[in-house]
Amino acid sequence: MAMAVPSIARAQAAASAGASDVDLAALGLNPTAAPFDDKLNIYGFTELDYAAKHFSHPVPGAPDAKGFSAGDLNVYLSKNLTEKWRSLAEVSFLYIPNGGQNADGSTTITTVNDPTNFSRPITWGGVSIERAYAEYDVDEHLTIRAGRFLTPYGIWNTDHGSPAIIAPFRPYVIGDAYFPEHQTGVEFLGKTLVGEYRVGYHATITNGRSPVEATGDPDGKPAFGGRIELEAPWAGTLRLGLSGYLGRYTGVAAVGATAESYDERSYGGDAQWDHGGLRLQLEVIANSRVYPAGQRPLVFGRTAADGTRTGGYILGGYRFTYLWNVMPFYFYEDNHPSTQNGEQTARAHNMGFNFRPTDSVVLKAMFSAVSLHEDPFLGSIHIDLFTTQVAWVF
Amino acid sequence: MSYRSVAILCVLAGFAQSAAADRQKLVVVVARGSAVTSVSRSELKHCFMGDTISPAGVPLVPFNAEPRTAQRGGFDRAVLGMSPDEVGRFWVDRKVRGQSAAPRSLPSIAHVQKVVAKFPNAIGYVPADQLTAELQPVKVDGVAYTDSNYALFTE
Repeated sequence: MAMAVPSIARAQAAASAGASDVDLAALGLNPTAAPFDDKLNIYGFTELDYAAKHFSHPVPGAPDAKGFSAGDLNVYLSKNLTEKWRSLAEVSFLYIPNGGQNADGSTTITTVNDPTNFSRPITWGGVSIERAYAEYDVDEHLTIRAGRFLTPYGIWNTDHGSPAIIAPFRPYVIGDAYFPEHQTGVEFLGKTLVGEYRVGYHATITNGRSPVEATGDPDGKPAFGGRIELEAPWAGTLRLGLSGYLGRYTGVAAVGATAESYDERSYGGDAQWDHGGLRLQLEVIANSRVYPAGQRPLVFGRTAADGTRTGGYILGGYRFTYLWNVMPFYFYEDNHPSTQNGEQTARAHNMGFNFRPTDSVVLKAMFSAVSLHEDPFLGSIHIDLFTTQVAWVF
Repeated sequence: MSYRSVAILCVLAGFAQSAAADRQKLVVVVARGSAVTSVSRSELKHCFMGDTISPAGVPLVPFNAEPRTAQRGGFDRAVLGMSPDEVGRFWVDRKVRGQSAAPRSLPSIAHVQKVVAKFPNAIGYVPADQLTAELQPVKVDGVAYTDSNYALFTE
């Protein structure tokens, strides 16, 4: 039934008068061009952590420890180049290599005397380009991205930054990079809406995994990856995803030596369900590697074996609207690396709180009970870990 | 029922009626003459949450009201299903992921009127009594803002 709006003519006249006073140019909008935002946007995030850990028995080179650590400073530069072209760069400013642990147990110190400041000591850090790419919208269903980007798999890797992540640190299965965390090459991505459902896809052609993947491909063999995802309005929002990756890893060897190399395949499935304040998410990932003849490295004095690593986690939490929007959460993780190569099986119960006092500030506190098994040196060991973090976006 | 109870009920009913009267219909608008005459609530939600949608073949560019206004609060709750705090967290998290930024927020209803009227692809929302001749109301899920079952209101 239509409803009369008696004051509309009068309101239209008044509103038109108000609108005519508006200066679009002052908003950076050119009435003769498309209304896209072409400002250079600079923003970022960083964090401060406090951690205390206790081992169930002494570990050589890894004593019980507690203390603060400042996280990386990540700065984003984003800009719409035209209506269809965009650019994003994310640069991570690091405190390391100062304080970095070396394979022989020593610690790197980068203190030097600064000749511009009366030779007073200063320590320097590093820079890591997390991603830098340009992308072009062919149409609303296809975007082509070229550069260095985060591998499109799962939930945790694309959530990426500490403010967007519920727990203070990553599960083993993500931290151990069963999929490469970054890749360099070309990505095709897009989505389409089917009624209330959203279907998305990603396909990648890249250098694949290697220590120098951003600047070259030592084996010259491209790696291929893909992901499909579905978002459905089922009792809230349900997101499901399947990801895959196929590539050859090739390391860098000294002159005259043979570099380590293996063919690898990774598969992953993920699900996330949000219903009001409730969040449930899980990821399961497998990674298999096969060494060509003559390219197996020595691991702990033995020739590395082919094998499959599997792992996953499940996380549940509920975001309340009080107490700084507190979210109590719990997550369990189970990680089964290829034990023939001296990697540890890990299981952990993690429980904590995530506070969001404002949009841009996140406070976290988490207790973790970690069990490592089948370590080639330590056997089984338990670690109690208490972590707090404040992360903020600026 | 005592006179006192009746009196209290009348006062409460009066408050409720007054609150309902303060809420105005929020009309989704595009430029007059646009081919877009109707969108689904799902399309509207995706459009204002960072996806590109092209109803009637027109890729829409969304413009929001300022955060913490009655228009923005009503729109976000009805269309996105989010409170102001949830919306704030949603966009901050998207920035960290490197995903597209929030739709531009315009500082006043007059700005929404002018921007939507000027740009053929723009879509926004204004209170019903702020419609101008240059704006074209868009049906949501096939329901016009003049219908009694229209469900978008200012907060």
